[in-house]
Amino acid sequence: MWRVALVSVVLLAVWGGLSARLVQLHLGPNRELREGVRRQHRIRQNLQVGRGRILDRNGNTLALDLTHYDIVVTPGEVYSNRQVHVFSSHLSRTLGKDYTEVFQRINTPHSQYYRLERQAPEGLAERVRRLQLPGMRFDAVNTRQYPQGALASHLIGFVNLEGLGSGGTEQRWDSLIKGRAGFRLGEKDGLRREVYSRRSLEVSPQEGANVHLTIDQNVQYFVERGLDYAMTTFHPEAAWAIAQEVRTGAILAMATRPTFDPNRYNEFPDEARMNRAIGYNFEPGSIFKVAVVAAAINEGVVRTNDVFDCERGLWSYAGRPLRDYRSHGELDVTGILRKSSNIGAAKIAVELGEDRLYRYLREFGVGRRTEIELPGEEAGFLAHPKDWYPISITRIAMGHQVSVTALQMLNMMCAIGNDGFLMRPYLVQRVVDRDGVVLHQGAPDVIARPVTERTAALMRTMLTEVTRPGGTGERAAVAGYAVAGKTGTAQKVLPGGGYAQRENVAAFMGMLPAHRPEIAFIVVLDNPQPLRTGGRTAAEVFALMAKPAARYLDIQPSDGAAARGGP
Amino acid sequence: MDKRNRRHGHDGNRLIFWGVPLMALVAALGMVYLHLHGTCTGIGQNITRLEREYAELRKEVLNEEHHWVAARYIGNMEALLDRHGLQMSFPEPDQVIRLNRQEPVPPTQYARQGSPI
Repeated sequence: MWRVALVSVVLLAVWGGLSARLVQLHLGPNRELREGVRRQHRIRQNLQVGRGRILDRNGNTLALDLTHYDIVVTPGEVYSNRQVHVFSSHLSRTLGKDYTEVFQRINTPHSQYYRLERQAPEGLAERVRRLQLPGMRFDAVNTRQYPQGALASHLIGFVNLEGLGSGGTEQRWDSLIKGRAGFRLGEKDGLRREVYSRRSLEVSPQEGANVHLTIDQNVQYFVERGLDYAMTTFHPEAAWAIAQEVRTGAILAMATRPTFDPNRYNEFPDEARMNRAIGYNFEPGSIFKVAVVAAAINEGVVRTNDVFDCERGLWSYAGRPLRDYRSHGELDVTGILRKSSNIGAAKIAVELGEDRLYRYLREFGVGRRTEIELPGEEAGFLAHPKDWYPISITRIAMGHQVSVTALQMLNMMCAIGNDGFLMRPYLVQRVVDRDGVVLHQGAPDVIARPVTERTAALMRTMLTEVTRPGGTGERAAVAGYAVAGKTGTAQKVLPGGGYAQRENVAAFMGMLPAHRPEIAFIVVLDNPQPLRTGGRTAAEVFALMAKPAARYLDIQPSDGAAARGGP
Repeated sequence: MDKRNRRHGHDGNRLIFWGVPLMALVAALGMVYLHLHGTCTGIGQNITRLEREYAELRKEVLNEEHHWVAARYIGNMEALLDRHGLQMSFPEPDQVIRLNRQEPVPPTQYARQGSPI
């Protein structure tokens, strides 16, 4: 009997103890313990929706976010399963990696983490997943993808490893594109699955806004193809080009060589990421004569048929000689543009006078940023006449002692094509958030009117002669279209001062159809070799870009009288 | 004595009268609670499953869109044509026949004109 009593007492004691402990755990001051349990069950899910897209004017996606996977291995687990050889063999074959390298990284029994592949696309991750190898994990990561690779890379920019927009549109509109990540707080069950009814807080993610650019990916392609041709044919150190809608100022294409692929931006040197079309100042050379002659005609200082003595190629002004590339006798104003006479342009500038020339150049936007929606734009440089040397007016007339960006020059050309209205170049059509609310709307904007409609029309007629047989830009002719354009060949400025004798910046800017221009291009080649002039190099590249672009955009051909044959 | 017994008998009836339905009500409420809990849990699981599915489908859509955008890119098309030794270019201006807009345009929507097509 006493045994029964003893067992009962023991049992009662055990149960009593357990009950007391239970009561203590639940009701006692065990905040830390309870917090530990809660922590074990708590789950936080980050909700990523990614950045907004970047699209061209026709809605073609140029940049979007995709889910990729970091393929991670736990070497210790593979080692303990004695599968290191099989594992390394399969993975090296599937991922195209060196077997020895994979083997050495996995054959480490105490290691718990090895990232085998960073940001593998879905297809590749799926192939590895199908191998059903133990000790593998696939961590989903949001990555920025650029489906067209290097196309328009300087305009689009890229996103760095911290997820920040760097360069181009990605940087300029980062605050609107990036959106906001959301999260979800709740609890999970024993199988580590979220219990929906225990979801305590959900902050919805806010998707980034979409940026619609004014560029057309096909025109962009024609421009980039032209630059590739220039790089292989004329061997410049760098090349850049822009296409712009004459009437609105909208940018249709902008490209630079050397270039980079934003999907692999860190494999390229910094200089490849420089957008030279807006971020590189250069002395424009003879393409600058367009502004000088337009100013003189607008002021009534000269008429198109006024004749100037071009001094057989050598003229002394303020005690310093000024030379032409080829000697010319008497030329009218059209001839000065057509033959690109430095002496003729200098004489026109002298007749115009320093102050008026300066005023017109400022009106054309020289020395002032265009405020295009891209980071890194340069303003160029134009000194005030009080700081000019006596010979400056003759040098500025031929595009020296002044620096510009390609965009400034093209915009100037577009003003000639647009009846004298200087438009603000713009790259962004609109920025729209996911609810369809327009956050920013780009629109044509007149910023100045440096010359009259009549002057602009006269200039277009004269510039058409440049691309006709005998003009310096005849290689820029496009079959079916009259092209108004201007060549330029500037000696490069040496770092220590002075000019290089055999190094040039060759350029051509032109628009078509000349009678009512719709599209304008500028092509700049930095130190092309062995051909060095704008007429022999950049003009040809212009035609390569303009011809398919005109056909693709279905620009009406010029009438038979105006148009001449071309390449 | 009879009176007391009657009262006791009356009290017992009242306990049964109220107690049984109360217990039945509690049981019914319990059943309803269990049913609702089960239903909610099921719906919750369904929602989380659909959320996962939605996320997966979104990924798939984006991947397909990425492929489609790349396939439509003129550079890739040209590369593909080159690989097969084909060359394509835009037609020359004199190869394009332009129709005058004033000419009658054939209706594009036959259905609107009551056509049986």
